[in-house]
Amino acid sequence: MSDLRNRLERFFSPAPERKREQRQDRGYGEPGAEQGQNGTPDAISAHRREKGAAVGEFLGVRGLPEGKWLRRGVYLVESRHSLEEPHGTVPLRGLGESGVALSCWGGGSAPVFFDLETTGLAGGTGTYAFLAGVGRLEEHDFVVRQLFLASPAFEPDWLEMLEELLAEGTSLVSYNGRAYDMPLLQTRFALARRTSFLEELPHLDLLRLSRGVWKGDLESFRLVEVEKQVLRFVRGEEDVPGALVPELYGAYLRSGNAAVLDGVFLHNRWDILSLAALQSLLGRLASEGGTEARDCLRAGRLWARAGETEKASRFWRKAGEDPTQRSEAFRCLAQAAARRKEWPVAEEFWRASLSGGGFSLVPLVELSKIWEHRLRDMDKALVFAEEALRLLLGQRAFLPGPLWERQRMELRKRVERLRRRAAQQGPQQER
Amino acid sequence: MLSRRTKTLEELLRWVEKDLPGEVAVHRMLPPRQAVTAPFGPLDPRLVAALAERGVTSLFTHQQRAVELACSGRNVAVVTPTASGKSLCYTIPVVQGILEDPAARALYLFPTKALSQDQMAELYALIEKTGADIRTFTYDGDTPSAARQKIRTAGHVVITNPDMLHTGILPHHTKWVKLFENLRYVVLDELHTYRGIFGSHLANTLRRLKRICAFYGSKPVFICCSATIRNPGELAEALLEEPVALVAENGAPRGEKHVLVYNPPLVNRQLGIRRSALLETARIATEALASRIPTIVFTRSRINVELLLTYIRQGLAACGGSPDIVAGYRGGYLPSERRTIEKGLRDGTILGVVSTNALELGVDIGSLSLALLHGYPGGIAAAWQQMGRAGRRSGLSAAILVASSFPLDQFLANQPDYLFNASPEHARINPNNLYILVNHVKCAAFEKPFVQGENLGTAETGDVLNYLEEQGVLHLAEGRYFWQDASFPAENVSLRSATSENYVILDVTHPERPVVLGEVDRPSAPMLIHPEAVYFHAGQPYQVMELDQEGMRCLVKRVDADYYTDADMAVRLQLLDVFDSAESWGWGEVLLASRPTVYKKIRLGTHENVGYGYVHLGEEQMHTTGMWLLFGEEVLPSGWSDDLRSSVLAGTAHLLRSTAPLFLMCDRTDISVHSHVRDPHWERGAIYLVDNVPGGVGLAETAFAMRGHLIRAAKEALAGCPCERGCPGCIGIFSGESGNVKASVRELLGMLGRASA
Ligand SMILES: [Zn+2]
Repeated sequence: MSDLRNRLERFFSPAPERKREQRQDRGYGEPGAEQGQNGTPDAISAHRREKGAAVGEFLGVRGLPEGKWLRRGVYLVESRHSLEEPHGTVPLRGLGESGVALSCWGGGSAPVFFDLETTGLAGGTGTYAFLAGVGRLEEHDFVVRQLFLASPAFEPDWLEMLEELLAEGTSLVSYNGRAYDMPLLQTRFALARRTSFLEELPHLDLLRLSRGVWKGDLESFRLVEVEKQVLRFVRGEEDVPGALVPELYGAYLRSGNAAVLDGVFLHNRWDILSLAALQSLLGRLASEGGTEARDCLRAGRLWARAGETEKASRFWRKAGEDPTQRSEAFRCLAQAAARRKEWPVAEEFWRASLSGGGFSLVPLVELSKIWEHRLRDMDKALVFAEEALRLLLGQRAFLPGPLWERQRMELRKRVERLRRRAAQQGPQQER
Repeated sequence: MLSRRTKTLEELLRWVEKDLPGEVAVHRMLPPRQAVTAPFGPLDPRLVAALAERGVTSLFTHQQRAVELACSGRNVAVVTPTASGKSLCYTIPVVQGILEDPAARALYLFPTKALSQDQMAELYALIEKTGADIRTFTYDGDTPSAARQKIRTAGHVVITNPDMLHTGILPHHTKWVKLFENLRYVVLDELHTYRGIFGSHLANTLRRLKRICAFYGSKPVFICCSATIRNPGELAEALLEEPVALVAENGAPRGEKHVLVYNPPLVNRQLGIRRSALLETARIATEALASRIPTIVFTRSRINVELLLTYIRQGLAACGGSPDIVAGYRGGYLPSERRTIEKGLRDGTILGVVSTNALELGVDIGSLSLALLHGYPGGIAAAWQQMGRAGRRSGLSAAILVASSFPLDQFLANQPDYLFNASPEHARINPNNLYILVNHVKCAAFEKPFVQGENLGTAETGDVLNYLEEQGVLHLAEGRYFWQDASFPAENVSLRSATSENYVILDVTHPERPVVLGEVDRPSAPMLIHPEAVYFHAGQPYQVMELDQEGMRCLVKRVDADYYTDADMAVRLQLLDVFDSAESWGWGEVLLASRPTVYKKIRLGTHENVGYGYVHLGEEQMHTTGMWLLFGEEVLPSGWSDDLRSSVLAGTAHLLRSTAPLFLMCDRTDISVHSHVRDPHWERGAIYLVDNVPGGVGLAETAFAMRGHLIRAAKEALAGCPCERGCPGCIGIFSGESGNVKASVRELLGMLGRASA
C-alpha cells in the first residue's frame, strides 16, 4: 500500500507549488481561499444571508450569494433588472417583439435566455455544468435566475429543476447553445438515464446569427468581443475570464467556500443580460434594417441566409440609396439575381456596382463570365476581362505576391481564351 | 539471363535449387490436408441461403465450433491460419444475432484501418444477400462528421479500432446509447497484435467498455481471432478477464506447401561476402512474376520495398513483361493508393506485391502461390505469418526465405531446423501495470463516476482513486468519485507507443498544383526525407527540396536519379537522473536521442557508393526510464580485448532483452537494450534496459526491483540453450574473431553472481 503510494507519487508527482496550494485549499473553515479574489465587490459579500442554510450547512457550503436552497445540493440565486436601464447602449425593452422578429431563426414571443458554466470545454461525458443562468421577462423586470449545483452528486435534481425553468417560455435563446450547451445537457440527461424534451424546443442561437450579420466586421465572435463592439458593453474587472471558471469551481469543491465563485455568478449574469440585449438589437435589425445603411446591408444578408430573397433585396435596395454602401449593395443584388438565374438583371447590377467605386475586380470578372457563359457575347466578355486584367496589373503593390500572380495567370488565360472565341464568333455576329 | 519460357511453381522451385548459384539450405514439404467439415446447425434460413449464394454450403469444424460457442453466449478465441475462413467465425453469429433481434448490435475492433475497410466490404457482401436491413459502418478518424450521427444510432455493426474506441466512443458513450444498450457481440480480430504495452492498454480499454455496457445493461460476448502464437487462449483470457473457450484445431484444407531457405552465393570466400540478398530476391520474384505466379515479397524496410519494386519492374521490362503487374504496399502510401492495389490484387490485374509487414495483418488479397522473404523478420511467429501469406486450399504453394548477410539470417541458413522447431513467441500483457492502470482509471472516471469500492479490474483501483482525489483530479462526494479536471484524459493517453504524427509528402514538381504523395511517420523522417534525400515512392524517385519540421511537411520533386540515399543515424543514450541504485544496479530517467549524420548516395543495381553529404537536422529525442547494470574492472577480465568486451556486453544485453519480458509482462519490442564498453557517465562498462515508450511505463523500475530474478533467469536461459556459440534465442549471433562470446558471457554472469552474493 505505502509502496503503491510511493510509486504513484514517483510516476505522477505534481509540481511542488501545486501541492502547497492544495493543502491550503483543503482546510475547511480557513479563510485562505478568499485570497486572489481582490476584485470581489463587498456589496455581494454583504448580501450573503444565512436563510435556507440548513441544507447548505449540511453540505458544508459557505459563502454563496443571497438565494435559497431548492433541494439538497440545488441553490437558486435571483436578480431583477429594470427594463429602463440599458445594457451597454442597448435597452432591454421589447424582448417579445424582437423574439417574434427572429422567429425564422427560432425566436419567440416569450424568450428564455440561458447560458451554462461548466467544468471544462473538453466535451464528452466528464464535463458537466454547475451553474445555469436563465433570464426572462417578468411583468416589468428582466429576471435572471441562477441555478447552482453545490456538488456533482446532486446533478439529477439540478437537471430536473433546470428543465422546469427552461420550459417556462416559448423558446430558448443562447449563444452557441446549439453546438455546445444543448448537446452537453443531452449528455447529462443520458448519464442520469433519462430523456429530455429540451432539444425539441425552438432554439435561437445568437452566435450563428451574429456570424451571419457581422461577418467580416468582427475579428472574433466570442461573446465578450461582440458585447464590446456591438453592444458597447464593457465588463468590469470583477469579471472572471471564462477559462478560469472550471478551476474556481474545483477550488470551491475542495474547500466548501463558495465565495471564490462570486465572479463566476457575476460573469454568468452578464452573459444572460448580453444575450437579451443582443437579441433586442438583432430583432430591430431584422425588422427595420437598423440605424445606418451598413445595417441595411447586414439585414439583407441575414434574410438572404434564411432564404427570404424578397426581404433581402428590399433591404439591399434601401442600402443602395446611400452612396457609401452602393457598390456593396449592388453586388449583393447582383449575386441574388444570379442565384435566381436572372442573368440580364445580374449583369445590370454588377455594372451598377462598378460605379460605386472601390476595388472592382470581382464585378469585372463576373461580368466577363456572364457574357461568356450566359449571354454569350464573346466581344463583351473580352472587354470586361481585359479591363479586369488592366486593373489587376495596376494593383500589384496592394496584393500579396502569390495571390496576385495566380489571379494574373487566371485572367490572362481568360483573356486569351476569349480572344480566340471572339475571333471565331465575331464575323457571324457582325452580319 | 532470364529464361523466356514460363515456369510452373514446381519448375520455379527446381530452378532455385538447381540453377541459382546460391545454396538451398533446406527444402521441406508440408503435406496437403483434407477439409473437415460440419453442418451449419440451427441458423436463420435467410443466412443459410446467403451463405449458399456465396458458395458456402457447410462449415469447417473450427468455424462450426466457434459459431456454436458464440451463439450459446460463450466467449471464444479461434486460432486461424491464413485461408482458413476466419471471418465466418464471427460474421455468422453476428448476422444470426441481428436476424433474431433487429435491435441487437455488434462492435468490430481491428488494429488497423485497412482491415476495417476490408472486413466492411466482406460483411456487406454477405448481408446484402440475406435481404435484411442490417447496417454496417466503419467509424474511425476518416469518418465524415456528417455521417457520425447516423452511425451512432442506426449502425447495427460498427467497425472501428481500439484507439477510436478509447478516445472517440467511450468518452462519448451517451451518444451511443443504442449501441451500448443492445451490444451483443464484440469481435476482436488479430488478437495476437494485442501484446505487451499495447495489449495492456487494450485490456484496460476493454475493462472500460464492459463497465459502460453494464451501465446500459448489456453484457456482450467476445469473439476473438488470433494468428498462431504460443498462448492464444491465455492471451484472450488475460485481455478479457473472463473465461474464453479456445478453438485451435483447424478444419480448413491446405494444399501441398514447400518451405525453402536460400542462401545467396559467396562472392568472396575469404571475407565471407555473399551476393546481395536483395538482388537475389528481386531475381527470384522477377522469374516468378514473368511466369505469372502470384507472389508476395516481404522485406524489412521501406527503402527496400522501393528498391525491390524498382528492380523487379526493370527485370520484367527486360524480359518483355509488363512492369505494372507488381506494386509496392507499405506504410506511408495513401489510403486510396492502398485500396487500388488491394483491388488490383483481388481482380488479378496486379500479380505481385512488395511489402514491409503491412500485409501480414490479413487484408484479403486473394490467394497467392509464392511468399518471398527478403531476410528473417526477427521472430518465429512473424516468419510463419509472412510465409503463411502464400497458401491455398488446394494446389501447390511455396515460401522462400532468402537469407541476408545479417548474422541472424546466416544462423538460420546454417541451422534451418531452428525455423521449424522453435516455438512461436509468447504473448504477454500486464493490465495492472500501474502507469497504464492509473491512466485508464482516469479515463473511466471521466466516462462515469466511480462508486466507492468499485474496481476497474483490480483491487488496487481504490488506492488509485484516493490518490487521484488527493491530487484534485477527482472529487469525492456522497460515496462517488467525480471527474474534476478540465482536461480530456483519453487524449493524453496513447494506446500505442509509436507516435501517430506523420509528415505529409507534397510533390511540387508542378509548383502551381502540389499533390499529396504520401506520408512518413515522424521517427523515420530524419532518415528517409532529410533535405537532399532521394525518396522513392511507388518505384519513382523524388528529391527532397525542403523538410518543414514545424508544419510537418516535406516538399519533393520528381527526379531521374540512378541512386538512392541512405542516412547513418547516431544514437545516444544519456543518463539524466538517478531514482534509485543498489550495488552495480540502478534506474532513473534517460534520454534516447537519434540524429542522422551523413547520407550516402548508392547507385541502383550495383549498390556502389557514389557520394555522400551531411544532414543538418535536430535530434529526435525521447525521455523515458531506464535500468542499468555496471561492469567495473573487477568483473571484466583484464585479458579481454575491447572487441570481446563489446561483444560480451552486447550479448548479455541481448540475453536480458529476451528474458526480461517474462518478468515485466511485456513484449520484446516494448524495451530496448543498449551497451556501452565505456559509459560516458559511469566511466565503465554498462548495459541499459530502457522503456521503449515516451515517458516510460514502469518497465525499468520493475526490472530494477526484480534484478535478482532477472540475472538468475538469464543464467538459466543461457545454460538451457543447446546452441554452442550463441543463437537468436540467447545472446544473439556474433561473427568475427571475438572468440566464443557465449562462453565469455557465461563467465561474466558467473562473476556477477559472486560480486553481488
Ligand atoms: Zn542459444
